[in-house]
Amino acid sequence: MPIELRNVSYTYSKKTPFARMGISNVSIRIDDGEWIAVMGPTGSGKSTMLQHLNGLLKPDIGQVLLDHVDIHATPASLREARQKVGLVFQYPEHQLFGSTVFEEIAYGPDNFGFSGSDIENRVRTAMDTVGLDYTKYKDRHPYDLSGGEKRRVALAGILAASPRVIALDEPTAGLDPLGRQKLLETITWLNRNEGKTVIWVTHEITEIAALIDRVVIITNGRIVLDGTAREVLNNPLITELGLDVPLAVEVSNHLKRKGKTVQGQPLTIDEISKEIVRLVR
Amino acid sequence: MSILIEIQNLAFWYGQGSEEVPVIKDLNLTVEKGEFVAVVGPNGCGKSTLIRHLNGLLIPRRGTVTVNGLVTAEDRNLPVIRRKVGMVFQNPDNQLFAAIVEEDVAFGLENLCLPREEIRKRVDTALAQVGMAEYKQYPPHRLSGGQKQKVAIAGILAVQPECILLDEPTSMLDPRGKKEVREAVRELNKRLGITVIYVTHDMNEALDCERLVALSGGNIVFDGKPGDFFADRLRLSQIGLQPPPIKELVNNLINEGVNLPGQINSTQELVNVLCR
Amino acid sequence: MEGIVLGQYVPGNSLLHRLDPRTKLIVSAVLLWVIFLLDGPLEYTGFGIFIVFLYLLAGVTGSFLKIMRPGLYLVLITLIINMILTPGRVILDLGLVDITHEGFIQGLTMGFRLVFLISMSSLVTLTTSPVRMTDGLELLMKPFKRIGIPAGELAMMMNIALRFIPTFWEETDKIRKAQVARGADFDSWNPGRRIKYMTALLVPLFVSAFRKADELSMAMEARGYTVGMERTSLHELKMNFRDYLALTVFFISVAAFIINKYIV
Repeated sequence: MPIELRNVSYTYSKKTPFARMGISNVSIRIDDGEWIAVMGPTGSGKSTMLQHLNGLLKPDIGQVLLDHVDIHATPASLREARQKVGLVFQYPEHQLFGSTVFEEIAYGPDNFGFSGSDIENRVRTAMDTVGLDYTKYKDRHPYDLSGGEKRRVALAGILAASPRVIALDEPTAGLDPLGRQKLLETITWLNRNEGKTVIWVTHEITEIAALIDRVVIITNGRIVLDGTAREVLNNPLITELGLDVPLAVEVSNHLKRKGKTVQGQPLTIDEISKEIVRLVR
Repeated sequence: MSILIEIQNLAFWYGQGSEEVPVIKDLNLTVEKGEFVAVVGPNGCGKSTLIRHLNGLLIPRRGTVTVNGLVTAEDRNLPVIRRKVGMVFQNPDNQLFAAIVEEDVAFGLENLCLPREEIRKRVDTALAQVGMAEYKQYPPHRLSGGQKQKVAIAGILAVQPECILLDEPTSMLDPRGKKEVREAVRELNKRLGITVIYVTHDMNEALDCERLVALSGGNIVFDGKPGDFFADRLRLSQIGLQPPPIKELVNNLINEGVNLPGQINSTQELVNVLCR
Repeated sequence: MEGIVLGQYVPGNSLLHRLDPRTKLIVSAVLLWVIFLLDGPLEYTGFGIFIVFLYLLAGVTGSFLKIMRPGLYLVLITLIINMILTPGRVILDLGLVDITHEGFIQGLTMGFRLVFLISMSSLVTLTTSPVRMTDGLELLMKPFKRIGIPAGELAMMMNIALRFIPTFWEETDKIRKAQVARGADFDSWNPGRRIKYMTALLVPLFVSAFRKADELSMAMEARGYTVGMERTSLHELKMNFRDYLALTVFFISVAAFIINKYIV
């Protein structure tokens, strides 16, 4: 189920003195099972792009295609896009409203019209996926949970509608190291074992550099780089834009500046370790 | 050096009787004037609770907290303590409340009933100290996250405190904003000699401080040099923390038999040693 | 839900921006009263031109158009209701309803009064920073402190409310989108489902408001604020020469208008 943005442009507050460009002529195709990271300075259009994927925003120009079908073609295709593309907002725990964890997670599947027994199964599976014990947590009040647990409930709420594509806006922001690790494990599992497409908007690339297939860089509403993590993260433009690079890239850049020849394009700590060991020997 | 903050046998819990939720159990800590202390620990370890005791936002259930010899439990000490110890919060949007930057910076001074000319002078100085002088007429919602935090810091600076408490001030910012705020705070410590207590989840930031205090389960489990803290992998994983990538790399290299001093804390240092 | 909302300040340096908020509050209060004395097309036109002149002087015409858009619906509804409900000489027969001459005039009058009311009060908020506005209100209310009205606290509350209006619009928009992404349909015709969707919007919004209020009050407390304290202010509200001049010219004009209208 490829998802594709074709020449999409979007402007906020159109035809007012406050008009502000969101994205401009963005084209991108994301294939089944890919895990891509989207990076860019604040206000560069990352969130705008994300909100086009499930039709929250409608392009002024251009098309959004899910399985080669324009998602804005009919109300049914838009509904399909909302269900198939799960969008996890920044600080998703701020959207919780249910009086129990069950009610909270069942909200999506219920809205999308799944039947009662099916909903229960979905909630159970989703909670299992994010690592929340069904019997222990289902009747608890979401607001009584810890920050990390709340975020997992919010994620489960999206997963329960069984999206094929999961798009996350800064999913690890504000979590502690343990919370980050758990979330990363969940998403890795979803991508590797369930074949879900993952679109991960972030400022902090180091924690996922070794996991992702592809990195897209957006600045001023345009895609300026799109390629494998290795290529893109080693591009000098990244540092110019003030974006985060993995430590391996930073170290290899420094070494190169000192006149050392670094082989390949190291991305992880292990890779750069090996390269340094080779250089010293 | 002289002692600025002294915490003795601090305990704090929410609720009463059987509903008691302990947060801090029995904590002792002394901070001297001019120090730069990082406070780390997993969520729910009591970091925020601890620093809210340092300016009297919370009062100990047991034990004492003294700031410059003044006990926080005495109501009449609070105005002086709050003037000496300023606080910057995590969310830049929830601590600026004026419609214009300079009016926000003036808030603390207005509360002190200072004369207008003095307020004017101090607001301008404080904004200049964090590099935000040209934004003094901006509405806060037109600033970036990093700029908002710097305005919040200026609002504290204007009161001329001896100590600034920062509760995860960069966790909601992008890399550029993080850097701006970090540099601003470092300047205050170096140039103005202000004591800084800096709560963070970012281990790179913690590595950058002189002293690191780690909390776990409401107790201090480490108090010393950040380099030593991150060298002990076992303790780190017990607390649920990970070393910053640079320490991980250095440890890796040492294990591989590369001859390196253990106290390397930055890419720059590492590369300099390697290229010697 | 983007851009400007009613009551938002547009920074600037025009004469109107520089006037003391008290001057502006007094003048606008008197003008709101004058609006109801206006009579006949000549006076309405004159007043309209006067307001346009003030907006040009303040340099905030762009914001005016944005503010008036919701206002215009109100005006239109007032106009239509008056036109068809006022009995009198029929000028247009539309079968079911008749439009009367009296109704048309009445509707126009009410409509213009509404436009004038909205534009006058907006002009004050557009050219006065909320803090200065509340300072001004506080000073104007000071005489009432003696009878137990907490002028300072009221002013502070108003100030904070104004500051957080844009933040709440953003928050509402964000939560709405998050719930739409989970399949909520806020345009649903089914009342039961609609209640459910609104709950999913309002509960997080209230929770967020309380969290904000909580953090904000803590930040204020940490900066030495206590309820009922004496405070000073960065911006001295001082009536300048221009304020006295503006007030003098203004009151002479209003007096001339009244005398001309009712006495001569």
